Amino acid sequence: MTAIEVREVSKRFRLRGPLLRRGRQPRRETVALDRVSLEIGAGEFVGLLGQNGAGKSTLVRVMTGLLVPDSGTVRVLGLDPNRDQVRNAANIGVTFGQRTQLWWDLRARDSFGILRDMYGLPEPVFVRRMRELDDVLGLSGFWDTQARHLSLGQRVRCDLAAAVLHRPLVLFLDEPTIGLDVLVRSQVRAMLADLARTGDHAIVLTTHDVDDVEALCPRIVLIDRGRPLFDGTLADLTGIGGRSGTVTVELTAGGGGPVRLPGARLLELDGVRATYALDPGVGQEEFAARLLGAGGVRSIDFEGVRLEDVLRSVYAGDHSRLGGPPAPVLPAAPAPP
Amino acid sequence: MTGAVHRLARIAPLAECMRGTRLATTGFVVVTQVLLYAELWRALYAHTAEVAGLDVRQAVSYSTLATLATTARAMRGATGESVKTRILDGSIAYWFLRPVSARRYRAWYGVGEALYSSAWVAAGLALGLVLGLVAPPASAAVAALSAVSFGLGLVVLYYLTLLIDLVAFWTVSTEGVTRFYEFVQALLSGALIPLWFLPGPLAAVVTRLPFAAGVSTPVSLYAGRIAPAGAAGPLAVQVGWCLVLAVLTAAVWRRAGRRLVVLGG
Repeated sequence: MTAIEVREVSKRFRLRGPLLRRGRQPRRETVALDRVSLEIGAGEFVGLLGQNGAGKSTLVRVMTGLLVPDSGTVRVLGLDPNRDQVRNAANIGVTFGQRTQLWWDLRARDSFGILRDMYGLPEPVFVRRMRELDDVLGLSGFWDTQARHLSLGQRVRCDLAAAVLHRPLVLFLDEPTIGLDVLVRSQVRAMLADLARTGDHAIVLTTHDVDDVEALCPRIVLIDRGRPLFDGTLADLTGIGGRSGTVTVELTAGGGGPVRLPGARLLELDGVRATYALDPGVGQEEFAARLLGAGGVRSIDFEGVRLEDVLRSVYAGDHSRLGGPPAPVLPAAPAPP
Repeated sequence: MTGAVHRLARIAPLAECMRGTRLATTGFVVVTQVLLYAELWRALYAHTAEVAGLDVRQAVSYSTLATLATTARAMRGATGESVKTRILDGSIAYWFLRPVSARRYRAWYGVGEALYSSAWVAAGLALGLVLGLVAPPASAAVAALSAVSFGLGLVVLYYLTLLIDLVAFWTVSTEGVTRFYEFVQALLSGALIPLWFLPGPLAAVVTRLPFAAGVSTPVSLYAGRIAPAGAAGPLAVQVGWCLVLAVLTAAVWRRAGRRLVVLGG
């Protein structure tokens, strides 16, 4: 079932200079989204990646109904998120990085109570969900504190709880772990992984944190200058264009272990340590079997291609391996089990 | 889907009560202003028994109530739940991502603000009566009519403040227009100087403006400047402004939703 359907959506922003210089400066236009099409199924966890200014946040705002596209259509669970804003709001949950939806002067617990009233949650359901969220995010230690006095980590956890309190079928998370310490970050990730496991929620994660993406997102959509460059699995992205991992093999001393083997290129031989680059299409299991079959091997250490390295080269302008701009969008990845 | 939406009215009073210093500040400002204005009017009446048809007791009653109505309302704004502040901190997005429309949310929040400021007016009125600064209402009819008029005035003031606030959807900052509005409101609402001191033609115009509907009309009814028999006209003007401003703000809200700017990344 399709949860989010974005079809040929474009959005431009017209920027005007300050009043005094308006006559001298021509009006500038920025293309934030350029004919973007995207489908996200129920139960999918999608990482929406791209450089600053690539159009990620604009796309999220269009999908949440905050922005009206200049052209194209958006449907979230069959609703136009802008025209059916109130009905759509009942289906979605949203967090926007460090912007809180808690009421600043009230205790966090009061904010949850207000959201309970807005979403019409029966009290027993509200109490049960708060207990569940407390178990995962550890909220009860500070939910009697005014939002203004919460630390960043506490506030982010409260905001995440606020976003999922009504069990939305579609969740938009814009930089949910920005500025968090490792402990809180792992709590947030665990909570999101729990949600994903239910298979009920379509989740869109916008982030610059590749660890979040690698840990959570089976599918990645990469955006650049308002155009989708890539849409596929994490494995597709790290392996695209023949990118391969390296293998470090420790050989037994004087054992005369394998030096050259089919399926990999020897990069370096340093005493008993050999480093190989896997040939495209050669799997780790297959190459390990060859190594072990050759004998004289003490240990094998596979190191995959890091998403960060791939993104760095793409952001630096190397689109060649993605097909070059404007890139054809690869077929959507199947929904995770 | 939406349940106990009326409970959103508790947000503003709850937020105010969370901060003891804010309550203390509001109390201090209200009491100080009431006493200062009472002394000022007494000084003005030191050598005369009646000015513009009002004796000193009526004038001090008017001043006390007008000060209460204006100050209590102004002090509730400290909670900062406005379009302007929410646009500046970027959290305005959440107003449009909940199953209660931004317009409805702001209206219920406004009900809470009105109840909170009314509580201050009621407390101030009780204190004024005990201290002898405010004369009791001349009759039950006067009390009832001025209470109705005060309620209508709150609605008019809510819409006026909201209209100014909604400008932020277009301009982001509303400093200039807010300052201008506050200046006009103070001058033309009758909060500082009763409107009957204005020159005749000007007073005739000003008393029909929405600014007067917020303060001057209810307080004039209470102080006896407007007799119950002549209350229908001013009350009709208030109702008229409520309707006009409701239609106007509804139209602005509709356009504002499509003008939403979420500042930053």
